[in-house]
Amino acid sequence: MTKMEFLDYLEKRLRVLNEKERKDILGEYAQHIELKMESGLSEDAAIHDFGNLEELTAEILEAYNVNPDYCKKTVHIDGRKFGEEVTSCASKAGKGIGALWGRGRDAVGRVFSLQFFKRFKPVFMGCVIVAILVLVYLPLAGIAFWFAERMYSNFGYPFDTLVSVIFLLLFHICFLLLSFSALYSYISRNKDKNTESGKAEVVRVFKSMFRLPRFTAIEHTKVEKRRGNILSGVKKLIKLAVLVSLKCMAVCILTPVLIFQFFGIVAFGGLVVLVVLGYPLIGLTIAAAGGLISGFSILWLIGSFIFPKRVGNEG
Amino acid sequence: MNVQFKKGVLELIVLLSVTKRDMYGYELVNEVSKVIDVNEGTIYPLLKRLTNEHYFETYLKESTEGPPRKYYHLTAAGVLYKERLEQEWSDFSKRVNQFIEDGGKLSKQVLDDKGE
Repeated sequence: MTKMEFLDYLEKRLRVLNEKERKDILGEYAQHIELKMESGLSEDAAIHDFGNLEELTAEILEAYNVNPDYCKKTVHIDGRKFGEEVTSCASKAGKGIGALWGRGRDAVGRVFSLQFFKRFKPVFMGCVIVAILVLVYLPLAGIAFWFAERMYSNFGYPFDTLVSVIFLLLFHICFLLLSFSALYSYISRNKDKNTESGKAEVVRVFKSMFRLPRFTAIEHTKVEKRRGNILSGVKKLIKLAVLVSLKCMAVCILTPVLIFQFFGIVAFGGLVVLVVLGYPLIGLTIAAAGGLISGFSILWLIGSFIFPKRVGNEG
Repeated sequence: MNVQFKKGVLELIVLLSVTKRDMYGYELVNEVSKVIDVNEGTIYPLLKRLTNEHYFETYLKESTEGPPRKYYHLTAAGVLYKERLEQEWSDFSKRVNQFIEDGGKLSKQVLDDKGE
């Protein structure tokens, strides 16, 4: 074994130590080998005198109060590095998804900015918006009705009709709210920025309708420069539709949870009063509290997905 | 030579070696090797441990023949520890020797009894 091989081996096994300590002990060994060689011994013999390397490493680690078995597996899991790698992969994935999303939007926006459409732009944009909404509505409505059907069969009279009607009503309300917000954002954009060129405006309007949540960073400047063709635009449109319908479905989940939360707060209040009065209902109260907390966290999570904060460079 | 004997006494020998003057790693290893034949690599972790426990102080001193050398110096706590180890060794070796003497007589007696 050469001196470098020996030092490399030690360096790997002592990675659990902090850098200063590791350098220190490696320096000592390097110096020892050097001096041994000066006194006439060969490199190989000097290292051979150290005996079994495993045992040596174990002794070194013990001197630092590290369990010698710590680094013995060839698969070395360093918690901090693993965490860093996971976050970097996740952020790359997020950026990738954001880039795809951005490209999809840009491609569709570009399709609509062709010269031919410019004349009928307002009408055309209106039709496009309605078409998209209908596209989104159909699958969601199908799911909503099926869900209402299930609820109908599960509950007994008179709740069956009541619950399913309420659910469908909520769904439609949410959907209409979303549509109106999309239309409103389009109209307000239209009024504010009349002087911009047609193509940029259309692209921007389209983007403003479908914002991506903040946690996937979108790099607009890079993405806008790419040239997509119509076929990939259509594919991306399908992807887009799926993602938007997911968002709408999330809203449908959100509203019942919100309503249950209100009931839950009332129930929790009542339970607390009962406990104070002396009824043995502490367990139930704690369960209710837990339910409330989880409800609120679900609301927060889904809400932050649906209603992202405005990013400065968007729109 | 029994490894456990050597392990037990190594600390004492290291501490004794540095009593007269400060030494650097390689020098120390050579000194210790004069008394007991021990794996040289294992002395460095021992030095590190004793330094962590504040029995040693280290400082770097430039040398004409290469990189600066780390010298080990016995602290006051180290001196006390060394004296304690010396005392313990003295007591320990006395008792063991005594036991061997007595044990020798005893085992001889047992053999004689059996023989009869």
